[in-house]
This record gives sequence, C-alpha cells and structure tokens, in this order.
Amino acid sequence: MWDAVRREFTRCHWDAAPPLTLDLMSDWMRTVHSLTALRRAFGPVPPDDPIALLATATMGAARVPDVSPVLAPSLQGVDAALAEAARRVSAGSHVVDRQGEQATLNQVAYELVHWVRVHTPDQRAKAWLQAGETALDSAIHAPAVRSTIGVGLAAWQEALAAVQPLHETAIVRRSVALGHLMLLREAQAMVSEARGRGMLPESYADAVLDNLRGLAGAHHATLRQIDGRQLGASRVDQAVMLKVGVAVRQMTTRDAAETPHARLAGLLRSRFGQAVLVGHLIQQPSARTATEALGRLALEYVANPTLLRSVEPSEGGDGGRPTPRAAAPVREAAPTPPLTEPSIQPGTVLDGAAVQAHCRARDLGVAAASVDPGNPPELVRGIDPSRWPQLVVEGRQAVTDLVASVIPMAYAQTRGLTNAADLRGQMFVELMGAAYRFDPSIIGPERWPMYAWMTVKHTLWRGVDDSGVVRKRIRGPRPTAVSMDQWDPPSTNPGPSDIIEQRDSISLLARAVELLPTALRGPLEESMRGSTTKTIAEDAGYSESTARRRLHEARDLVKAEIAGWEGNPSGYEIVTDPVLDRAQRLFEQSFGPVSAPEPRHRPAR
Amino acid sequence: MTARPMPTDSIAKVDLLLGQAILLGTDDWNDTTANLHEAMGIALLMAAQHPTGEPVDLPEPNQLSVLGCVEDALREVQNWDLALAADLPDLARLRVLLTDTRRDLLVANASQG
Repeated sequence: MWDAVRREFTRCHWDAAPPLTLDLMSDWMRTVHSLTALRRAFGPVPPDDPIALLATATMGAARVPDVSPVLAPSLQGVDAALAEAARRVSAGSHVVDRQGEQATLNQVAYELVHWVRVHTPDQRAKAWLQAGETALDSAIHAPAVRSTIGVGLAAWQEALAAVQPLHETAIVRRSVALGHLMLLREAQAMVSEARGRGMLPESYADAVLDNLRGLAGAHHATLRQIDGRQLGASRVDQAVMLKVGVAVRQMTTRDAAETPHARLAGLLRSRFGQAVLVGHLIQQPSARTATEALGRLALEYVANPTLLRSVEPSEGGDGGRPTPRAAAPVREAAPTPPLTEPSIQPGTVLDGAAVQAHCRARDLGVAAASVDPGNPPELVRGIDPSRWPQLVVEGRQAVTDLVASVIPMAYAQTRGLTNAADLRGQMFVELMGAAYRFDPSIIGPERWPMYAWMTVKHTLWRGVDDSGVVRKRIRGPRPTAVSMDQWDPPSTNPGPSDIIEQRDSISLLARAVELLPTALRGPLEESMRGSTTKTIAEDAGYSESTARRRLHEARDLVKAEIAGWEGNPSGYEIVTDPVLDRAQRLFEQSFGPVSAPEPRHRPAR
Repeated sequence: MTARPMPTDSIAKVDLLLGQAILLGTDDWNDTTANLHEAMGIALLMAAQHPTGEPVDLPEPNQLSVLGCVEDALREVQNWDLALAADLPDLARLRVLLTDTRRDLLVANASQG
C-alpha cells in the first residue's frame, strides 16, 4: 500500500525536473485531505488524533493572510497515491493491523509536513505547520493515551485556526487573549506542582514559569488596549467566538481520572496551547520573546519526554505536596462502560465511506465485546485478542459518532415543543438503537441520515407524556373477547377444512419467504430448520445481534406479505410499531434493498 | 410553556466585568485567580452563545477594583431567573465560582488591613 506513496515522495527529492506547482499550500491541502481520508478508513478519528491536528494546523496555515504562493515541486503524485490507498482501504481491502498502519501513516504525514514546512518561507504559515509536525512527532516518539486536556487543546487549536482570518477584530483578540490566559494559569499551576514534586528539573521548570508570566503580562497589555464596551460582533465573529468559548470551557473542565502527569504532558505537547500561534494572532510585540521561549522549551520536552517524570502521589512526601488547587468542575470517573464523547462536531455530514467504516468498527466492537476467546466469530478471527478491548472502545466511539452526525435533527424537531428535553432524551436513546441496528449492506451506507430521520420522526409521533415516559400508541381498540356461552367448545382434532387451511397457509408462507431478499431469506430459512441465532451468525460471519435483527426483519416482512395477500392487514397481531413498520417498508420500497454479499461459507446442517 | 427571555445584555456585562477583573488581577496566580479564570471561561462561552447586539453600558470600568468587578458580576448573575439553568448549564457553577471568589477576595482584603 505504501510503495506508491514512497515512490512518489522520493521523486520530489530526487527528480531532476519534477513537476512543479505554483501554490504549494493548495497542493498540501489536497494531500492532507487524502491523509485524512486514509486515516478515516482505518477507523473513527478522535479530535486529538495527530492527523486531525495536522488537518487543523494546515487549515490555519492556509488561512494566514497575505501569504505569497510558493513555487515548489508538486505533491500531486503523492496525493494521488494516498487517495488510491484510502480508496482501497475503504473498499474493504484486508487491513490486518490497523494500529500498525496508523503508525505508518503518522510517519508518512510527519515527513511530508516537515518537507512542506521547509519549503514554506512565511513565518506565520511555518508556525502553523510546525504545530502539525509537533503533534505527529509526539505521537511517533512519545505516544500517549487520550486525555481530556488533549481533546480540549485540540479544540483550542481548531479555534485558533478559525479565528485566523478575523484576528485583527478587537473582540476576537480579546477572546483569544483571555482564553490563553486561562490556559497559561493552568500551565503555571501544573508546572509549579510538578516542580514541587520533583517531576520536572528545577531549571527547566523555572524557565517555563518565567516565560509563562512574561506571556501573561503581554496578554494583559493586549487586553488593556481593548475597550470592551465598544465591542460589536458580526455574525461571523460570533461563530468564531463560540468556537473559542467552547474550547476554553473544555480546557477548564477537569477529569478526575486524568493524572497531573497526563495533563502537563498534554500542555507541553501542545506547546502550551500553541503559544507561538497565539503570539502571531494577538500581535503584541512584547509577547514574542516569551512565546518563542515557551515553544522551544516545549520542543525540548517532545525531543526528550523523560524530562517529565511520572511520580505517584505517595512519592511526593511533604516537599512534594501539590499546590492547593481551586475546585474546578470535576467530572467523576466514568462508570463502566465509559461514556464516549463524539469525536466529530454534531451535524458533521458523513459520506458513505465514513458510515461504512463506522459500521464496520461498530460490528467489530460488538463482536469483540461478546466473543468467547476460545471460539471467536469470524469477524474478529486473526485479530490479536489483546486488541479486542480497543476494538470495543472504537466500536462505541463509532456508534457515538454516527449519532452525533444526525443529532441536530433531534434539536430541530423538538424546538419549542412541550417536553422538548424529554423528547430529545428519548430521541437520543432511539438514535443510539438505530445506530446499532443500521445495516449498510442492506440499506446502503449513504442512507444513514434518512434512516435516522425516520427514527426521529417516529419518536416524535409517539411523543412522551408529562413524566417523560414514551406514550404507547395503539391503532384502534383491541378486539373484544367473544363470549362462548352459546357455543359448544370446538374439537381439538383438526377437521378437513382445518387441514386444507393449514396447507394453504404453508404454501403462502413458502411464497412469502421466497420473496425475501437473500440477506434476510438465508437466516430465516436456517432458523426455520431449527438453527439457533448464534449458529446462524457464525455461519454467515456476522454478529449475533445482526443475525437477530435480520430474523426480526424477515419475520415482519413475511407477516406483512401474507396479511396483504389475505386482504386483511389487521388479521395479524402487530407486535412492532405500525408506523415504524410502514416507514421501514416505504423506505425499502423507495430505495430498493441492496443485495448483501453471500456469506463466505454456509455448511449444510 | 413559554420560553424565558435570555438576559443577553446582562451576560455581556458579566463577560466584560470578569474580563476587567482578570486584567486588574496581578500575576500572582493563586486559587482565587483560578476560580476567576474559570468563571471567565463560562462567561465567555455564554456571551458567545447568547450575543447582544447592543454595546454594553458599564460606567467607567477602569475605576473598579477586582472585588468591585466580581461583586457587580455576582449581582448581575443573581438577578437571572434560576429556571434559565435549563438553557445555561453552567449557571450554577458560575454562581458558585463568583460567590467563592468574592469571599476569598473579602478575606484577602480584610487580612491586608
């Protein structure tokens, strides 16, 4: 997969007359787009993923105003090779070790961004590219677990990229300076604590503290120049401010499970909240020395992560007592399973490939969570069992992201309604269920938003009562019991008419089953032959929950088909919700089921 | 149920007052400053979520002390309808932070004589 990428990149270095581009940054943006597509094909991309940070940094670099286009060797070949790799992975080519492939991708991206940075003359654009390079450098040389501060800092970097075109607006400069002041205070507290505990060398900690204070002074100077009363905000400013506000709030929210070491490491990796970029944005001359020094000190840590020693709380002793901290909002340690936060912005449009990748991650996660290590289903066979817990986490993340991509529908549909909060809660629950049920092989991955939309509409139709409980809607009065007083009890032995009726019913049933799509007919026939759901799932190579759902759908379709033939739709007890049934039928009639691939093997039983 | 009006002008005022308090604060980053910064973070987000179209009427903020800014901000916040908590999830946290900050500042002022 990487051969073509390597070959194309080598050409940029050695080709005597390489194809040139007049605008390196445009080329680089396309390349980053392909890198992101490839990363997405490997699985869900959390906001603090190094490739996501690289994408944000590139966006920031591209938004730097008044940068002259750069003439350089074109990255078009590399871009094409990466796009092809992404296409192949998305198409389902076998990726044995996704973790390994991700590590390779980080290395490739690191080398590429370094090359682009070296070819970029503008210092401000260089600083942005350096931010992406540092994120990849950290991920390669000192990989760390995902942390709350890491997510907050990723949001902060994204906010800085968003404010880039408006950074001369007073209201934006004020917000950036205030937000960064909060981050500096947090960094100061963490570094003081680390110094006290002996986690950082004293000289290093003192240098950091000096420069943090210096930069805070520069921010104060910036704030003094702005008269807050005269600030007006356009709609664009407000959208940008919202990004800054959300990022600041995320950074000031503390996670009880996060260690001081992880928190400080996150701050150092972010080069103290991209101090150099903030310095460029607020344009305060007195900030320059401090921002550059902080950037250098943070790079020193990235190059040598052992600078920050991990110390257990008990090791601190009296001298190592942490600096008393203010009661920040503490999020209790998450219950098991931990709640997963979406890694995408709510309402992000997922294309078909992304939905497919999310569904695959979901199925892998479900399979990994429920397997017997001695007899794993085919889906997770060949994957190292030590990676199964990670698959479970990725599966949950995928489901959360699927829901996050459509959650604005719930808000749009409930705005201004009575019991809106309860309705939204119920919609969220239903959407989670839908995200687990959705099968792209039957419905088509690009139709996930429509599937979610029908779920939302159905929940809205059912509604909730004043206590927030879902209403039970029944299409009409249930049939009343017929008194048997005047009748003789029927014989238990079948008469001739009963036998004929039974034969007709079997014939109808067989015809209805024949009409089912292959993906549903197979499991139903196996079930009719007496196979358990587990066996059906193992034979077909998908999860037990998928088998159960397909059986359920098959039975519903058969029931509806027979009811239609008999001209008596209400002749059968409707177990599932009639609106959902109708919506599902309409949906499948409108778009037609996509025939699922045949199972790889199905031994006769 | 009718929607409660959002006190956008008041939110902007709180944002401005807390920004001023931070500006007036010294480089001495202690627990009080930590609370003040966190409150500022909440106010910044609230102001971005519920912007006002009008300039904020704040008489001579340069004549206020840190304590004065915090007290004025607390007064504003305490005037808000508590039922707004449904729309402002950090409302309670903001009230607590401002109350704590005010108390800490009062104690600090008293100990300085």
